[in-house]
Amino acid sequence: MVIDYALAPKLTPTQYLKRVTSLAIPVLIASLVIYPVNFFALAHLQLVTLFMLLALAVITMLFQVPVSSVGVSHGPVRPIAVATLYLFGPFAAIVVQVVAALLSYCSLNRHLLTEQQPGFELPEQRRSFMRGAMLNTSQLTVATGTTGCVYWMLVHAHAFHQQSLAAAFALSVVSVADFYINAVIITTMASKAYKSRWDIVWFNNYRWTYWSTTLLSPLGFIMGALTAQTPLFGLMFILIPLLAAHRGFALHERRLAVYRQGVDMLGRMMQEAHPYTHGHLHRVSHWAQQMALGLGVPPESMALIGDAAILHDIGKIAVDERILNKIGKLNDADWASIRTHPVIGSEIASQMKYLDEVALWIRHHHEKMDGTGYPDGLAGDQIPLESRIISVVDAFDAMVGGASKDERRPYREPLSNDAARSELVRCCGTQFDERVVSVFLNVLDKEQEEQEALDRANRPKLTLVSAPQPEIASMHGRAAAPMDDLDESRESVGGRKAMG
Amino acid sequence: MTPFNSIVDAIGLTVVTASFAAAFVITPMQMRRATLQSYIAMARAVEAREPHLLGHSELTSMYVVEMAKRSHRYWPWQLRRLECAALLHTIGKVGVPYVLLNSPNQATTTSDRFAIREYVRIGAAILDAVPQLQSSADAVLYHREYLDGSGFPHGRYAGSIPFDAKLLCVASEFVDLTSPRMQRAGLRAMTAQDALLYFRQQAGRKYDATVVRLLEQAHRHVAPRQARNARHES
Repeated sequence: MVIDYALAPKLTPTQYLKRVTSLAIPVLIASLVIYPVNFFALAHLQLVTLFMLLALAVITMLFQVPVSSVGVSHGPVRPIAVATLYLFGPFAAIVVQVVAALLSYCSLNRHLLTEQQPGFELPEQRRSFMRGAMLNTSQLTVATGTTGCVYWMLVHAHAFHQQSLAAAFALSVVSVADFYINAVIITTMASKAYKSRWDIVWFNNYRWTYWSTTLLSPLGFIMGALTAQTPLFGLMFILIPLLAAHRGFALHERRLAVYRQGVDMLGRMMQEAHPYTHGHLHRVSHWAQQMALGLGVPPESMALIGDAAILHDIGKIAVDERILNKIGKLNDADWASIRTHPVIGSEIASQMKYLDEVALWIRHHHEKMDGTGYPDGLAGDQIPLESRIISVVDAFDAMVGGASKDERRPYREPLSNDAARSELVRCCGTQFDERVVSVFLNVLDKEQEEQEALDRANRPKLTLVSAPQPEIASMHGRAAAPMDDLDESRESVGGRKAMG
Repeated sequence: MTPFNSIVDAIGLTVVTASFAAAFVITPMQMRRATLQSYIAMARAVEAREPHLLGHSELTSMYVVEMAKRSHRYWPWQLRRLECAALLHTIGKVGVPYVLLNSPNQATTTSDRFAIREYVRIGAAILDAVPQLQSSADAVLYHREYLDGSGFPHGRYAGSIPFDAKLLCVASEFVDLTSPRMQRAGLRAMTAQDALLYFRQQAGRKYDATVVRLLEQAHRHVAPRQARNARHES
């Protein structure tokens, strides 16, 4: 895998990056010492083979696909590097990997050297381009070099025949180890650059690679063995499974995109039915993700909790808007129909297999800690943690709802931030989970601080333009604006007694 | 041929076969399933607004695909576009007020009727915004047009209605007429035979005669499958 330009500008030259770079130099020297391949003394056929390997590596790297959104690309180049290791030793393997990666990196990003991108300065752009190239060189050197040297010393240099099963097995292990060293380095860089948890970055990018990496690990050895016997034909033959593997990879990425698009469309439908929910859904989703970070939710739920927050009220599509927007008290029939929405929502979400768990969370997002919620009357820890998170965030946003006019709920005036916070605290234990509420209040505090810091930075400009602007001031009072939902807020703010 | 060689060959063949299977069979299948699942979820979301129509879109899509196959006008990969259109043809109803969709004597006034009819435009607009669904948008927009120009939204005549839309029109109305859950005041579900008779009478006037013939053929094929599914569910 190669770092993309998308990630490069975010990397700052920290201790960690320097360490990776400085590690690359001894590895390079070691690989030269272990097997000092003399490129000028190679036989004609060997030179042709080496050149073919290099060309193949460059071609495959040019077809690389981006891996999720982190800014890392993947090309099926590893088997070629392993074959080179088998035939020409660790130094040649490093050269093939690095040259292929650099050529593709430069050719895919060369416009960055000459064209200024919006929001960047040209010199800064060039510097981060160079930094990206440097990091790719060193991280590939470290990954390929260490595994290559270890292989060469332990297996290849020893007496037994090179075409043995031991060699085949060792090369498969080398291929897997190479991949995961590379992956660990990149995950660490990305998690530092985006300031997110290591296991989450890992899970999002590498969860699905375990099988395919293992399955494809013998490719490198097969390629090397074939090339040793019939150089040109061997290379051509191996290209087919390489490209097939590559296509499988690309389709896998696209499948995730399809699911994302499905969630998106459902969100858009929700908005069509209840126009005031749009901002609400996005704020709820943002906060839910922040809280999940703070609560140590497992990484596989992290990716889903944002979707769950977007879809939590999808069941309201099936509820009459007149009831949702009714001013005044709701009668029993109205409540009965509102109370169907978690069940309907979970039924809709469960149509997508990817959202199986989310369907469960949606079903329980109106349960209360004391067991008086609906639809199943679960209490305490029986309620999934994710549902508890969503119910707190949803309630808060519903209470402060209405920073802009069209987001305001018709049936009640929004509360101030402080009033909503104390309402959350008051309902701890009966309606909300204490732990979740305290994490949420922390998240809010942090955001307010950031907002204030931002305001402070912007203030000089504002005062220059005009004197106090009441509208802006009042909006900052409720930095995290909102809007929507209806029954949660009714219940938590005084509607509760009426409900029983 | 040494044992070593044959083992390497075996591993090699396995890897090649596996990567081919993964790239050209398994992953595309998963892709297709993922896409369909999300469209079905959307269809369910709209149908939840009109509980008496539950399952309408899925059944319509079965009919449309069968009819399209029999028409010999589509390549297999073009059927996908019709399937999406059929699954999502009511999606615009999310934008129609709930009262209008559910009142027993619906659409008594002209303005109500026009408000309901907006759903084809809303649905087409939603599909049009998604690159993968753009090709289905036309079928959705024109699926309530009749040959004699009495349909909506534009009142187009025979020649200017896309064939996709003609298929979708007949299939969805057939499913509507025969749906046992159709409990609106004054309407009782027709038997399939009555409904087919009605379409035959209107063939050439409201509906395209070719399409009606396709419907009859498709019905012969889908009805047993449908009955089996229903028995399975209950």
